[in-house]
Amino acid sequence: MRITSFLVMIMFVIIGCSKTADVPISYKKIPVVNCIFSQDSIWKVYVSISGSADNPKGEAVPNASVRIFKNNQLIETLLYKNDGYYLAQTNTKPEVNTDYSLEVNIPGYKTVTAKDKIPPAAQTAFLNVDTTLSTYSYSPFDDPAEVFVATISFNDNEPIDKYYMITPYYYEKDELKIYKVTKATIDSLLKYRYIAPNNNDSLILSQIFDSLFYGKRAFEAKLKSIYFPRSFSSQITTFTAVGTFNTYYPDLFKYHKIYSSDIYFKQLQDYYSSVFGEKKSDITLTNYPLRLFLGYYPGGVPVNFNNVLTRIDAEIYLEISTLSNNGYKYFTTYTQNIANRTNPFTELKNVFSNIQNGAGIFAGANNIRVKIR
Amino acid sequence: MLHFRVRFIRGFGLFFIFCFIAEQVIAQFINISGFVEEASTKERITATVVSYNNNSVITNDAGYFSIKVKKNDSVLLLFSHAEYQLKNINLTLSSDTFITVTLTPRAKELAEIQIQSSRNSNALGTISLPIRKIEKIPALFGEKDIIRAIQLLPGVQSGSEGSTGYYVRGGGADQNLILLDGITIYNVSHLFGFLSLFPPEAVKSVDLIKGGFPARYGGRLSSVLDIKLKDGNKHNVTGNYSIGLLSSKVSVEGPIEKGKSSFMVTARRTYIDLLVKPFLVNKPNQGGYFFYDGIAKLNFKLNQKNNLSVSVYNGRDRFTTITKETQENGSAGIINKVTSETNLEWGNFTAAIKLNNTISGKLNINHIVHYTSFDYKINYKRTAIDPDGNSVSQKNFSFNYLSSIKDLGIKSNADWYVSNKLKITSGVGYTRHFFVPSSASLSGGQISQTTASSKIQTNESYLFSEADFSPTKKISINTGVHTTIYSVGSKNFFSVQPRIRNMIQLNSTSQLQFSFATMLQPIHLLTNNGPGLPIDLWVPATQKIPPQKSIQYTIGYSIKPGKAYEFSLEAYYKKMNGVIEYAEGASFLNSTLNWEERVEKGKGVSYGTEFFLQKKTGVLSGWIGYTLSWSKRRFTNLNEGNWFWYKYDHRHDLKVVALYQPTNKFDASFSFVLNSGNRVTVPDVIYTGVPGTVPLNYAGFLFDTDPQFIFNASSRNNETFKTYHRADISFNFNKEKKRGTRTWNISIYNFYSRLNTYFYYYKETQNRSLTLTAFTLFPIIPSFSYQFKWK
Repeated sequence: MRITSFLVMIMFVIIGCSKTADVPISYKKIPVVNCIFSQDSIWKVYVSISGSADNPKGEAVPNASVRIFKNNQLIETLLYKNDGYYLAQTNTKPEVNTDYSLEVNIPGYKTVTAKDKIPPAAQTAFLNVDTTLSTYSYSPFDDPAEVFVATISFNDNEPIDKYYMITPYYYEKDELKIYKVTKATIDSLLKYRYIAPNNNDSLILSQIFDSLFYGKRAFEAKLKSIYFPRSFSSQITTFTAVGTFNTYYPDLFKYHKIYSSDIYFKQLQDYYSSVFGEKKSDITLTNYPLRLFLGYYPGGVPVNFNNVLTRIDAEIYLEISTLSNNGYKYFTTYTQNIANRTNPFTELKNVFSNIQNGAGIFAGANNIRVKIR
Repeated sequence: MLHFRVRFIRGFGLFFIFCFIAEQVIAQFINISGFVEEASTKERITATVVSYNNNSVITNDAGYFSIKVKKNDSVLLLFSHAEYQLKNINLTLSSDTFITVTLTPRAKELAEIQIQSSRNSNALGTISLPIRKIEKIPALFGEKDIIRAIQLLPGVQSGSEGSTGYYVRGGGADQNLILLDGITIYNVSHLFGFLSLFPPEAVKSVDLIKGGFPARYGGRLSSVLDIKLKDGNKHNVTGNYSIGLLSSKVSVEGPIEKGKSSFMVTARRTYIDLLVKPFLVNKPNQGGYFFYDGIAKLNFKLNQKNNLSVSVYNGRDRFTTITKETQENGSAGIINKVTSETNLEWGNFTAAIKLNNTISGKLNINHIVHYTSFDYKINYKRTAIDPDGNSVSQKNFSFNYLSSIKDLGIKSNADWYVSNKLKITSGVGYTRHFFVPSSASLSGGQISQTTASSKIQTNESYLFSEADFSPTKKISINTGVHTTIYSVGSKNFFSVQPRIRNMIQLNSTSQLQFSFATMLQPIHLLTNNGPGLPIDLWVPATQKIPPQKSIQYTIGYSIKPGKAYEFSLEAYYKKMNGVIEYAEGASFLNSTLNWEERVEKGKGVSYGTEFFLQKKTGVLSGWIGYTLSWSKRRFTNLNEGNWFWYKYDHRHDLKVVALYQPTNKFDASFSFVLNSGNRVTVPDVIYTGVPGTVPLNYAGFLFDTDPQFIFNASSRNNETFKTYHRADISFNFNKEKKRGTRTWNISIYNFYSRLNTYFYYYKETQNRSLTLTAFTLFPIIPSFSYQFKWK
């Protein structure tokens, strides 16, 4: 009995000690302004006030004054659309290598300002993609699996600093044949993809009853000027050679001058993400390989039907974007912020912002979309 | 600064010439030299003040002294030490004489806390903690602990709740030089940092130096904790054993050859793993934790003037989990048995051979050959067995992680008692460091690879000379230069570090002191900012990550208003350069290969004031310490290049310790700690990111959060933990038995059960956002132990 009591006491002391309690945080309220602009889209700016843990989205600001300047000359005063989005009233689109600035006035807050420009596009004339079959364990705890490794390289010898973001997408061919675009999708496109509600816009649509349709040919023809609905996008994450995942290493990219061959993509349907790279002006980018681990069969993607892996015809695209330095810092720190925010071993990684008197991003991007065959 | 150093060195040379001339002038004197020993054990006693007329010298680390007296004169020598009875010796001598003096412990000393200086009376920034007092201070789980006692002193901040990490005057945990019998110890933690390595039973003395560093010390910026082991009783076999809730330990010491040689052995082991083992029989999940440590020391008196000692320390912690499960192997329906085993272990090993040699009546030299190692390992192994008992190789997997440091070195230092007003200590040392900052290997499935930071070997040499000088009765000076030559690869670093500490006796009860010290530290600790597992990587200074440097200025005033009381006030200002932190997003997990690229270099500043009131004697004794301090850091690539508060920047820090001993049969002790909480970075700005551009189901580290929201902190370390306070109490019931003394100890840690935060972590909310949660570890913890000291 004495021994039992002794043991119970020890267990009580050792195990029964810990307690937890939620800690209130006083969240700061600051203006948030987001705008990634490219020559494909008209001006669209998101304006809100930062939120809290219970309401992370914050409050949309419907009564702000949002003005766009080109070379310090006012060119647009945006109109409030909905959910914090302000849209251009004209169909003018930003130009490459031109200075743009933003000024947002929100009642009760200091004037928010930012400036940036769209960088030149990536030079992809000599894009090369080699796909080979390989076997790989995505993590130490996963069984080895057959994957296709796409080694992608291109030459970019323009003597300027460039910052790349590359995102793979796939699109199932069946869906391309007759793709049903609902009104909600169009709204989504309007909201997120910077497509103006204008019949002269590059998106060609036809409408039958309450739904909108477009054909594959139209889709492919206009591929360069629309974005896919995100729900059909590829889903990839990154893995390093040592089995750690979900973090990006800008330093490593620099070490390899452009892309790290240690960046792997996981199966398309499980995750997706982008890879980042940068080159300095004195570096000529020639055939630095980007290795993508693609969970696809040539010309298709695997789909699991009743535990049987089936190939579905699909087309895979790479979106090769050049970002301004501000945009590059924003997206790289954004992915690090997500990856590390629950890591108990590291400090929080703050997301970069070039917004004065607020948070968010105002950055130019130049996007090219190429198909992997 | 360079000009200052040149002037300082030139002045130092002139000073030595002056000493030489002075030596010739005082030839009409003779030397009385020798050792001071404890009467019963023959243990040599350091820091004994030996006085003659108005002159005094202090015994060195070997218990040696040398004092000049007038030839053929009747000489009265006084030997005084806080823990021993005063002793007078009358001598009339005509030539240099070597003597051995024995002192008897004070009968009532157990009732007193004698926080005292070790060398000069109340040396600035230096505190000696008598080991018998440390044993009385209340402790977590009743485990007496030197480091936890050190944490109760002003100017010393504790880290996390219950941990043995300590931070001195705004410095980092790596900036504390911890010496065990002169050997560097790299990690002092047992039990994930809750207990320290050093069982008090094996320890003879503990000195903490926070500022005004003598030139003999180098290699760290913020403090020196000099722990000296007992030599062992040369007359009788004595010892003690104790049984506590966490561990049991035994300590034995005695003569090998009576009066000439001795041994001392202590051993300790926890037994949580053994106690829970019966409850885990036939369970699929097994686990356990234990640590052990042991110290052995042999001491040989070769002759009257030569002494040889050999000491060894070995300690290791091991945490193990084993899980067993069944897994279906693909679509074939085969069930495999899968066993996963994780081991986490770390440990220290040290060995030293020390020769103490008295050359003449004025010169005493120590030679030490030393080896020390610390390693940290994580091993994970998964094995799969199919129904036929065959290994399923493609399911097997193993992961091994190692970080280690080993030192091999030799050093010598000599104490030269030039005159009663001047002692010169000089020394030289060389250490070869062997680093494996980080190494990981994976095997299993299609993976078989090893990633390791390259093994790095560095050389560290030093040369120092310091002088204790009392030009007048009211002024004493300790000054010197410590030079370091450090090489890594083809890169060499050379550093000259001048030190000075000056004391002015204002009147019979009060002193004014000031000091200046520059320090160099050619080693860094990469510390994870997590909950405090000892995943700290020791890495060398390199060309990319140069050594840390500091300059510290201190000024102090002390007064003894009565026999029992002493009050001191010290103010300090410390600048540090070359301090490091992991870059944002980096940790030991992703820094195996290129740790130098994952580190940010910066600088730090700390300043503050320490108040220290002691009651040294009486039935009730103790101290009150209060520190008001600031500590901050600045890194180019962190916090947008702005200053931010250091993680352990505790603005206010109050400590109260009281000992009450009405009789020899009973004593009680009480301690109270109150300080500002640790700093932590929390996201206090949440907003929507650019929609659709970041993956919707991006994998988080522990769990996924909604990636459309950005969590930013307005600045680094922008929040403060709740105020920390805790009170502990301890009772000892002693009884004399036929063969020794029995003691029952009852301790209550955190007796009013304050829920102090151990660490914060993030929890997912219903809307996939984050909320901050505080984790508290120790509420009230009663404990008891039994100890028996045999005669």
